[in-house]
Amino acid sequence: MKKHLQNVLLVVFIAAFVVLWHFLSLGRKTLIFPSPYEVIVSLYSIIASRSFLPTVFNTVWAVFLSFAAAFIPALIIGIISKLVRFVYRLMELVTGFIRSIPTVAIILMALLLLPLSYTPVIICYFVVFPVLYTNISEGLQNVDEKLLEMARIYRFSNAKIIRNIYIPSLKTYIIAGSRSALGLNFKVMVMAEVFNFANHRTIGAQMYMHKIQIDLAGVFAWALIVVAVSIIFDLLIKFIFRENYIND
Amino acid sequence: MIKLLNIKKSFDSTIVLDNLDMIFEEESITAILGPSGCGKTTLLRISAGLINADSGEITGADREKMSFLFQEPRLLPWKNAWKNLELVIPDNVDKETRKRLCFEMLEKVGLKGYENHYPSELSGGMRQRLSMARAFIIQSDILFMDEPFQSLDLKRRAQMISLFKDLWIKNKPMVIMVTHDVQEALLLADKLYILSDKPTRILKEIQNPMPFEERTVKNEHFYGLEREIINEYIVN
Repeated sequence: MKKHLQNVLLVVFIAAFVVLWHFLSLGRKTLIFPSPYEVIVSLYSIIASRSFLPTVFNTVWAVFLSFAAAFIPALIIGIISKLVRFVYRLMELVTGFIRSIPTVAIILMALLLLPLSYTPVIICYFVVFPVLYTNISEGLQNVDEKLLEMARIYRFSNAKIIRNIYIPSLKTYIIAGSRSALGLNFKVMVMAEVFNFANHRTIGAQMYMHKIQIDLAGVFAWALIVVAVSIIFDLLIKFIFRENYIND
Repeated sequence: MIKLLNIKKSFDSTIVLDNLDMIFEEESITAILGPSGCGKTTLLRISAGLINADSGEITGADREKMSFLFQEPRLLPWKNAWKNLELVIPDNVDKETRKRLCFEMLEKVGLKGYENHYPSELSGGMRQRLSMARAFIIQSDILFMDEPFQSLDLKRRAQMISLFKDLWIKNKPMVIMVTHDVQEALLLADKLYILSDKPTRILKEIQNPMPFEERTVKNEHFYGLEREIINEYIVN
């Protein structure tokens, strides 16, 4: 299908969705289900308010902190796992375990055990770390043996092998891992903030405030903001790591 | 000169190579001709020091500069054509010379104008030529070839073989090639070892009677030699 036609169809589908949403909200039995118009009004008032930017910044900053806190150890342990088989197997167990714990259990435990202001960051760390670690470690395990053999024949130094074979092959895995980890990071961060009352100027806390006022339009509006911020960061990663070759 | 003495290699309980003796001369091309799966590639990898034999002795193989033409081009997908070449040039060569050597070599293999193309933007034949350029750019002492022309059609293969000859004649590195193609062996090699099926033994060692410059399909002896080898050692 032509790209142009695809774009047109996408717009048609989105429009149809909004129209459907509008009619559903007309027939609402309860007061609280918002119409698209109400959400847009709410979105405008949120964005226009003075606390909007600091609120978004607080959440984005916490996402950044937890992402960085997870990324660096994931990279280091990933490299060790390539060198030491035991670490690889141990980490398989550990990440498998962390992955299976319900996120809400981590949130509840962290809220009880940890100082309040840092909880969301630590919660996200536990969710994001396994995703990043798994991608990095898989990437290192899957480096093309044939290229490594070629490098040995042509007497590449270790530094040359790392720079020209390991790092470029790892790059695709790091991009994929970072993109899925960051998307997850935003979702879990907002959820953790809902439970965290130490800071009111966060997206999660704002959602909670709208919720207790039974203002669903506000909750929807913030959800749209989270989606927008996630997309911006995703595009940012894609832009930073853009490739000029096609990997076949 | 490289000598292999009593080389033995098994994988699990299968004996792949059984007491092989071979001699590879300097400035000479030796072809190891054998059926698929007879352990030719294993033998080549042992000679190149990529894997160890179970027993036996190898002398003269500790070379400073080796190159290898693999069955696939094995290019780095994230490096363009000239960078792929530049990588194998030793680090002590200065930047200007490196670039000049690469561009000259690319011209020789008919890739002028494709310097900045990535492997994915080149055709299969072009990638093979780039891989051959890489094998010759370092003026290695020894070149290993593992059926490098196997995946090419007849016309491209003839082109690659003549390109190989042009490049080889300049420095004449010792070449050890494995192939299952009699024509390829006769067109290139000074000496042919014909191997049996597993467990692999040497059936025959043949000196190519055609001089290097006259090794073409047009040579009057060519088809006779091919038929003789096929009838005596391959069909039976």
